Amino acid sequence: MYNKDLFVNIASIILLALAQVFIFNHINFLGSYQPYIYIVFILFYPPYANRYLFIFLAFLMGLMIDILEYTGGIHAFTLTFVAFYRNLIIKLLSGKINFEMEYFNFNTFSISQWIFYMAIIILFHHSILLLLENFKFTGILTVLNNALISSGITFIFVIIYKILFKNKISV
Amino acid sequence: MQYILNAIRRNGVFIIFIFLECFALFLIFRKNIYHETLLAEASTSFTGFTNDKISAITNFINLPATNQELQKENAMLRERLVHLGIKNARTKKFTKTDSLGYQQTYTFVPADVINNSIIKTQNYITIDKGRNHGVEKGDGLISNKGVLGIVTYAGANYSRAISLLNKDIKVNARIKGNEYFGTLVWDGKDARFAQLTEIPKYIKVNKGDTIETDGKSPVFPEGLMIGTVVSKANDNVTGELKIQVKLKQDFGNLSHAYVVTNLNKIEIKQVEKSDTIINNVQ
Repeated sequence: MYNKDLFVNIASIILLALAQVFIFNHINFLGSYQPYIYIVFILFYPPYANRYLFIFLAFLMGLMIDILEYTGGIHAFTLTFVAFYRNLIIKLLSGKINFEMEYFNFNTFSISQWIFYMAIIILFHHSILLLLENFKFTGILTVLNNALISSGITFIFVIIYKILFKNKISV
Repeated sequence: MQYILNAIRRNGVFIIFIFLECFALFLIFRKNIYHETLLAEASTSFTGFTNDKISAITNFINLPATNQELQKENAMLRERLVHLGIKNARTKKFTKTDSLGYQQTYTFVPADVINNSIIKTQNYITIDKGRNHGVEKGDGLISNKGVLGIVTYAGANYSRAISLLNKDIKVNARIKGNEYFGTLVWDGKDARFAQLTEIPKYIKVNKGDTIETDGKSPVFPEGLMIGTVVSKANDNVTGELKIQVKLKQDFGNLSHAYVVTNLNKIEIKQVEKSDTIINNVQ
């Protein structure tokens, strides 16, 4: 737990939070859709690693973004939520009956499994985040529509990220 | 005793998860309090500093367009000065006295917009002037094309303002010509339009009418342009008119702004202390 990976993880959440706040918040499509790139931390975190640390780091990254963006705690809430249910989604998508998380490796995922995995987590994250931001039921359809289109944009960025850092991710 | 420890060990992740979610919810509900007391100074100066550096580059790219706009504004102001017959106007203070002797006094601090968002339901603007330059909490933020927002936190060198594109803001506004006033709000849908509410049904409103600020709140001077009427509809809930206003200022393209400080604000606030009117604008 207290090894090189911990520092790499901490550095990466800081970098992702800063990149989101200072670069990707300024990328707007059609004036109302925006990518949330920091979700790659949740997507590509090794599945066999410590879950306590994973949830705590996700919370910490959300909190950093919230402090810089003045959004209260919505990013922290959403990231913790998605981090907690990520393993369940992997389990469902793996299609095995006797599933052992300790022996799971992302290399066993096929391309369609990867696409479903990314799409489900991104959509899940964006819907919760935008619903929390709106915080009322009026205009819920507009919010969900926003979440859907923003998810599409984030998806494209995540694919680009995966292509760029291909070797590092497939641990 | 062992079975309690076993239960905790088995569900440890879940317990951590619940604890962190509760903490996040607490932060969501207590947003303003913890920000203003604990982190506002540090996070405003950090994001302000970084955004300042970033916006230095984008401002450089937009320099020709900005220059042209400023030139236009200068020409308009010069024309006004000539009409008023003033040759050596004092630059910092602006005093306006009408026929009844009613006096409004404002100072204007020029500022650069260094961070701005339009896609959320609660948008904020960061500017590069703070307490050191005379900006205070509760001051208005305007541009040459209209109202931008109200300063909610003034740091030492940077300040944050709640944008007009925020569902929590309410600004006094009136229809130019018949002087009926209502409240300008934003429904969070389109960054180009805001809504003027609380106008009675029997008032005649035409498409293309100008909406401007009302002098009734101490934040903004009277008669600042906000936008024009594009459509109107009857609100079934309140029975009043709901007017769609096209904002003159394009919020996606903000670069320069002015902070308006009312010099009589403290006195006005003291007078209105028992009222709730003042809460409408902050």
